[in-house]
Amino acid sequence: MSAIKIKDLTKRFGKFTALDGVNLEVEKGEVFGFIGPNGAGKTTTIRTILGIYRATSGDVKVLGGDAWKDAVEIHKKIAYVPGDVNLWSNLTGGEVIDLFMKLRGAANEKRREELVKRFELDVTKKCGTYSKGNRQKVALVAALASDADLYILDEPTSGLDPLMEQVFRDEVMKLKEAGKTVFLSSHILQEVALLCDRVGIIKEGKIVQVGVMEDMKRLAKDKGLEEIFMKHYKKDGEENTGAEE
Amino acid sequence: MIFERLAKGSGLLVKFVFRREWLALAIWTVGLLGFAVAVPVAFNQMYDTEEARQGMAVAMGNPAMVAMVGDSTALDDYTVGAMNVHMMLVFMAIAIAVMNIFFVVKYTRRDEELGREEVLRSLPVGHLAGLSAVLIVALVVNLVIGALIGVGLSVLGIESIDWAGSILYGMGIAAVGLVFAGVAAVAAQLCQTARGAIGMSMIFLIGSYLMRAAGDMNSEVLARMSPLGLVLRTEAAVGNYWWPIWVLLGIAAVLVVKAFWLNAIRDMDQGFIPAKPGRARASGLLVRPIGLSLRLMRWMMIAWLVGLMLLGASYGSVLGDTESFADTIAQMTGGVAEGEDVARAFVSVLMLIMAVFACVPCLIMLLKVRGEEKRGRLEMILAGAVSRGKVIRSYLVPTLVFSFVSVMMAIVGLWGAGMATMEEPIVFGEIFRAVMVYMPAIWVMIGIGILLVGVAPKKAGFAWIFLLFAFFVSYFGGMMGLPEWTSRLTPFGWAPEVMMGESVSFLPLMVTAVVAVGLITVGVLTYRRREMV
Ligand SMILES: Nc1ncnc2c1ncn2[C@@H]1O[C@H](COP(=O)(O)OP(=O)(O)OP(=O)(O)O)[C@@H](O)[C@H]1O
Ligand SMILES: [Mg+2]
Repeated sequence: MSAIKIKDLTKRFGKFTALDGVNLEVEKGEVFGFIGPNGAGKTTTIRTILGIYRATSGDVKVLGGDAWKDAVEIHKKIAYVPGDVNLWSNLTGGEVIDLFMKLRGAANEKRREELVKRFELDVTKKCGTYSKGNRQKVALVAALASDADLYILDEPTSGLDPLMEQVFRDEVMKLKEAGKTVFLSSHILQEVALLCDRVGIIKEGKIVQVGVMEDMKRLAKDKGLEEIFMKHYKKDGEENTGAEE
Repeated sequence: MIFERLAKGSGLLVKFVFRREWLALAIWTVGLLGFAVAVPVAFNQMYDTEEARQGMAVAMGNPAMVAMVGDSTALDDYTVGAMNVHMMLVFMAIAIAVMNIFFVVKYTRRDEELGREEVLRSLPVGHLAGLSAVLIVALVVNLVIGALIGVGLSVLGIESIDWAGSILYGMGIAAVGLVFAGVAAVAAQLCQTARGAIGMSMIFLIGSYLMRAAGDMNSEVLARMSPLGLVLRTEAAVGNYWWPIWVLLGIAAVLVVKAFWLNAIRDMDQGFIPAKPGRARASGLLVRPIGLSLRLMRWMMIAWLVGLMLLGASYGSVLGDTESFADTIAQMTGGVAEGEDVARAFVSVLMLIMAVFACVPCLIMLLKVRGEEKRGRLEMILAGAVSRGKVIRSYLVPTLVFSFVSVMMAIVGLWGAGMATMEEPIVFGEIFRAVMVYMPAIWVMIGIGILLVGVAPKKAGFAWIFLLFAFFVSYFGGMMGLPEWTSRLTPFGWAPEVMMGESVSFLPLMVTAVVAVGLITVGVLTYRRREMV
């Protein structure tokens, strides 16, 4: 059974169409990379999966339930790191981590301690005084310390230093070994190439390519994986001229 | 050159600060000037006889009033000028202090916190240029406001307010403003966050007020140690002493020097009072939606409860002396009929006003759920196993409870102060009944708030306009003699005036309550069905 199954998803904000007939399936136990240019619709897709946005049309099934109607039940098995981490400036990092974990359900104390240490986070500081990277760590610790089935991560490493990024990669590998499903949206192609089993590319609200990472790597061979990805980041016109050369 | 190194670029930054803040500063200026001028004009009309003024002097001389507004040496010759300084100077000074605190902290510690200072420091700009630009603007603005008030008062042509008195009055206000600009500048160096700096300055302001209150009642020395007590000692329009102005300016200068010195010896983003570590773990209560909402609102709730009780108490403190306020009260109630008890008529209007006031914190609490949504903090809550219904309930339920508690605080304050001053105090049960009939109306206001949050979240702020309208009608309706039906446009107009002997008929109350329940239900249902925007 698939963890996420999106069929013909369209999402409009007023007249603007942010998602235009998206079809996507994420299998249980795989790490799925989700990439695409700024404003392509990654965050919108994720918020619809989480039932924070309501689909204009189409069908979104998550862990066997309807993303909008069964949101509360589904969320007990989901851990989430948002693209923009907005925290309460007068609560401490530790308080926010506890809050996020408890709102999800049971908390794994041992994992929490371990992750706070690994990410070198001072949990007694007020969130208002955190740097961007430290705010990101708060959301990461809360998500990774949860015993979830599905981890949805929206640009989880933005603002992390290289050392912390390495810690993050280790943790995702652990989730992978434990057979968890990970949905990872990212702008760091190297990170996606390293961690993901499959990758989906979205552009202007449409899925333009879905592929198995191994196949793509083989295909890319000497050209390098980045080039395959990169062509989707360019405007349509530019892409054509690139092909003619 | 040392100037080059430290203050280069100040001039440019001054312009920049003006550009960013001119509108807010202009609004403050107009507001302060309007108040400073309108009040003495009103006094001049209302208390146009010696008798009326002396009656007022007796009322204002009671200890509760002295504690609230200050002492006056001119109670036996209570001219309009004396009255104005006595009743208004401290409040004008507090208002300008608040303006300075917010302004200075915004352009010092807040900019630093947001990383804007960092960008400036990377430019060829002196180390102290940021702080000196803010303080130059503060100096100019305070002096302009002081001068405008001085000139504005003097051209009114009120006999007892001459040039000398007006200018001194204006300069007194400006001098207190400068002191608090200095306080805020120092606090912004000491604390690491803007919140902390504002909090510290506010504590200083409240401390000054309390010291003045205690000092005015018991100890001249204590009163003179507070900037607010000092400024009263100018006795503008009475004795016209300038020495307190020099003392205030001296204090301001010392504070400014201190702020520059602290600024020069510290690193950017650092403070002298280290932010003390908070809890590493959340308490058991916090980790539920309702615990979170209460935690986020607790200081605001406490402040409003205290404020409402003080408001009630300040009205209550004049109940024992309603005769000398008869004119004011008659104005507020739209005339007291022959044979009616002035005190009861007054309390009757107060019940309405307090019910309207109690709606303010309720709306703040309710609209907070929308604020959280707008600031993107609801996303993580809803990503947990939390339903929308639970989210909205975690704000609605506290608001409903709070509406009752806040009304209670207001009438306890009123009744307590009334007990102390009245010869025949009003029975508590009666006041209680008189205010309880307004509860359904308050819930209608809450219902309107929640309906907007559910149906038109981007326009939820419109609830304030309706409340403002209700306030206007209930506060000025009597004074301006608005027709009866205008009050029926607000939910408050449908409640009986128990204090005036109207019997409590249940039908209008029931209807109001049903409307409230309807509005709340529709609001909650639509909220549960809509996505986050
Ligand atoms: N609430 C909203 N109302 C109106 N338009 C929206 C809203 N949310 C997103 N959009 C628009 O939908 C488009 C997709 O946005 P989305 O945030 O999903 O992009 P993204 O792929 O996450 O981009 P990025 O890589 O920059 O995070 C953008 O053009 C954005 O402006
Ligand atoms: Mg995004």
